[in-house]
Amino acid sequence: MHRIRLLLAALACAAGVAMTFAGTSFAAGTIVFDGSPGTGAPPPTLGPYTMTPFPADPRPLFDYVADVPGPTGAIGLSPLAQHVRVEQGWNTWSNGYLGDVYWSGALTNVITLPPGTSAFYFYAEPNPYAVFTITAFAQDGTTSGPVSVDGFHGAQYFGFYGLGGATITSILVSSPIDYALGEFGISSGAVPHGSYVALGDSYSSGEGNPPFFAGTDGPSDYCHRSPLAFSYVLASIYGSFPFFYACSGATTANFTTTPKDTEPPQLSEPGVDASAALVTFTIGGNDAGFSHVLKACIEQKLKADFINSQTGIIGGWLGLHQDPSCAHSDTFTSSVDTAIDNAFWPVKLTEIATLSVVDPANTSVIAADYPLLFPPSHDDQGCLALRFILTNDDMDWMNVEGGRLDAVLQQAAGEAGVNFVDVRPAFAGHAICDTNGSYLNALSTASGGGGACTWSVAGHCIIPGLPIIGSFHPNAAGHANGYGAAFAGYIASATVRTSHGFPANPVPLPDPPSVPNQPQDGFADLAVHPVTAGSPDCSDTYQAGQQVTVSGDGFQPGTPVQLYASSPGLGDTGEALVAATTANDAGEISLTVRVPLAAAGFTQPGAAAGMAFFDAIGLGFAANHQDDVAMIGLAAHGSECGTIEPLNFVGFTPPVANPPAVNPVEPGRSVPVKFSIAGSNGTLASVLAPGYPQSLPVSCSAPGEPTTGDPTTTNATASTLPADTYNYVWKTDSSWRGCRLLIVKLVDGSYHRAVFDFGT
Amino acid sequence: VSFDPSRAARRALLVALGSLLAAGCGGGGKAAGGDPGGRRLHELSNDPVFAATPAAATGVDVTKTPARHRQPAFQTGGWDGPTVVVTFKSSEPPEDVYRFYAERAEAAGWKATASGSLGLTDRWAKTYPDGAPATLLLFSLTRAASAAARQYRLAGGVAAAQG
Repeated sequence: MHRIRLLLAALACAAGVAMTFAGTSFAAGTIVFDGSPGTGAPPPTLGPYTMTPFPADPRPLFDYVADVPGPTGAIGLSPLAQHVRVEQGWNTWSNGYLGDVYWSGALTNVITLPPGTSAFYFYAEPNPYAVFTITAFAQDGTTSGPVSVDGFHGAQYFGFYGLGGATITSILVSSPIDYALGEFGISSGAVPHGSYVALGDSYSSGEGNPPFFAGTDGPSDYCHRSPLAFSYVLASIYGSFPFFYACSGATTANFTTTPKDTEPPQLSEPGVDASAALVTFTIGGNDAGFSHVLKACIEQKLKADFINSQTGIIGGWLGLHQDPSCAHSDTFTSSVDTAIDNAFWPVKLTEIATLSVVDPANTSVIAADYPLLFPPSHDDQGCLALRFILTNDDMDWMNVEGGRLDAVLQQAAGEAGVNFVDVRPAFAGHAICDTNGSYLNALSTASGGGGACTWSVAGHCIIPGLPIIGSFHPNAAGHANGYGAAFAGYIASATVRTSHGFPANPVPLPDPPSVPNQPQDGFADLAVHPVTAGSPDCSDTYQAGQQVTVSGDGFQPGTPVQLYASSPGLGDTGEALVAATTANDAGEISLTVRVPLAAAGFTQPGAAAGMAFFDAIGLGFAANHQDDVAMIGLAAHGSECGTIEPLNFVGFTPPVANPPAVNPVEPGRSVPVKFSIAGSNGTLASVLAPGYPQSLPVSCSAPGEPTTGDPTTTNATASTLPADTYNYVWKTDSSWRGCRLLIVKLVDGSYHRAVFDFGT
Repeated sequence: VSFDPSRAARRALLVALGSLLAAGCGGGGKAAGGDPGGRRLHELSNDPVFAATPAAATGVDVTKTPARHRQPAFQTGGWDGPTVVVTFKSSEPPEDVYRFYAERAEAAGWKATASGSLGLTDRWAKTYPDGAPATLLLFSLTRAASAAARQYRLAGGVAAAQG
């Protein structure tokens, strides 16, 4: 018996075909490759599917065939292939298989599968008795990569299966040498959901590990559930694919009470009941706001580095330098401690609620904590991925805070009576930039970019866009070797087990004396929109004095809310109360105000504009103190960014009378020219147009409305405190006689006049 | 520039929230969706299932939470729907408490979807006339079976409108 040896025909360019193939459109869901059986016998399952091997092909040997009959229908072969059998036209194979195989002589073969195929495997072996690579592609481009296959008893397993509704429609196989295909197996079944339920937040959903399951990557649901998540690692171990409800961004409220976008509370999902054998989750990180803390520290360093580089040594002498380290602020770190500690009760009660909706005696509920993100070594912290975004002090401090959060979660699990897995040992040595290889994404575009610019002013990008979504989350190795291994190790080491073989829930620790939550700050976004839009390049950038609409939420309905502006120029405190309002029944506020005229903005030499803040402060429904905040750019008057709508000039106030009255004045005296502008929050310097006031001689009876005159002088230092009333102390000249018109031009371009009679 | 360092640090925390909007991260924007005017919260609040508690209930607390857009850093954001949560204590047998709400929920048009540790219905679903899907969960917050009085929570939530 001889192995078939034929000259290689000049067939289609394998690479070209592969590219075309990989470019075909891909239905919803994900296709996964599995080659783990290697040269071994085909396992009864592939992914979550039970596989059915193809029956013996009854057709004559050595005929060329275009298809192969299978249990769910025929598979197509292109080009035609010769029907042979191991030891009957094809000498060797692997795993003891002696059945049908198919050889076309081509370097590239396409297998077309019956509709609804959820999983398919085949074996392939090169024609020559030597090692060659063989590569397989599913129709979406999912590939085995080059697999080295020995032509002498080395037929290798290639398996593809769909998740999230994906089906396999065709497989392209290519190699630099001809080869035979055979030993097929197929499944058209649905995913056999077991009694494993995977709940949780982004660390459970697989955030940062695309592609995500269909329907969880927009447009109305961004839960970002990934087949690389640890729940699928556990599923492959325990043979029970999860009811997978973990969702990026979830808090404890999204377990028990609160729908997130289109997803109902996780505990109300199908399968979360007494039939569940195993429930896993991570939760609490978002309740503690840990991701905000991390991002805040990154931005503080970025901004501080920018400002410090602009102000230089002299800026440092003048105290203009900013500390790049958030960990140096006691106020900040204390606030973070409080937020972490306050996550205890929501987590504990959520875990008790979880036990309430399952069978606590037979459903193993296992909570896990979070890994420490940063390497302990300052040398490792100095890697490119970290040193520009965080200080060593910040990374050290955040590891401490991560430990604090993990301790809170462990205590909550203990008191609730659920199992707890500390994943930190599994991640030890694998933090971001760790020398042993990281199990975590650093700043990453894994799940999507963060936009072109994080903060721009007047069209100038001050801080480039942070690629954010999926950053600081476990990567595939972190899910497999971190979370997956930690869960599997915990489950394997359990001494007391449920009837399903998973760790029994522990007896709850006694509740400690009740400690109420500490007062907590709640933060949210404050939306700011211009009443009069500027140029399209001026997003979020306004002029002092411009009218804007400010809206926020998260307040206790019916309670008062104060709106503050913060900026240099607003007095010693840097703050001004701009308006007060009351939250509506939905806890929302919306009001139109002016950016304080006196706001100068945090500006740097050479910068086109500065920045300022609005804070809406009141009672929160989820926090004792709610602060909705917006950062805005502040451009110079006259800039194309923004405008100043007409100021509400109420008029001159005593001792100055408004026209047509004529104000008698003794020449040489100083005149307190007082006026008010409602809602302006300005100073004289900020409300007066440059070069004004001016004055000129006019007729006492017909002064007219001139717009220019001689510059005037003041003999008093104007107040620097922002207000709605203004006092310009006009120093008159002792030589003046007759009537003069004082012309006050404001920054909105309006003119206001008063007539003074200096006698004869 | 005179600026309180502690406020500056707090400011940094706040800036993170503000800049997330500018970053244009996934999960939908704040501009669209939610619960304009609190209509869905109003609808849920007036659902008859919340109009009564078991006769022997004590310490009744009702919390209404409006819809809210959240954007956690490094993750996707989205709308949390409005909720109404009733927390109370009862020394009645748990079966009586669950049956009380099962009857009220059914009368109010809620459809049972699951049962929990006691084998009694504890989850329901409903679609309001405006198409808003709603869920209702009843769960115990007391683990000890021997407790004289148990604390319960009835949680209703409606999906926020998608923009």
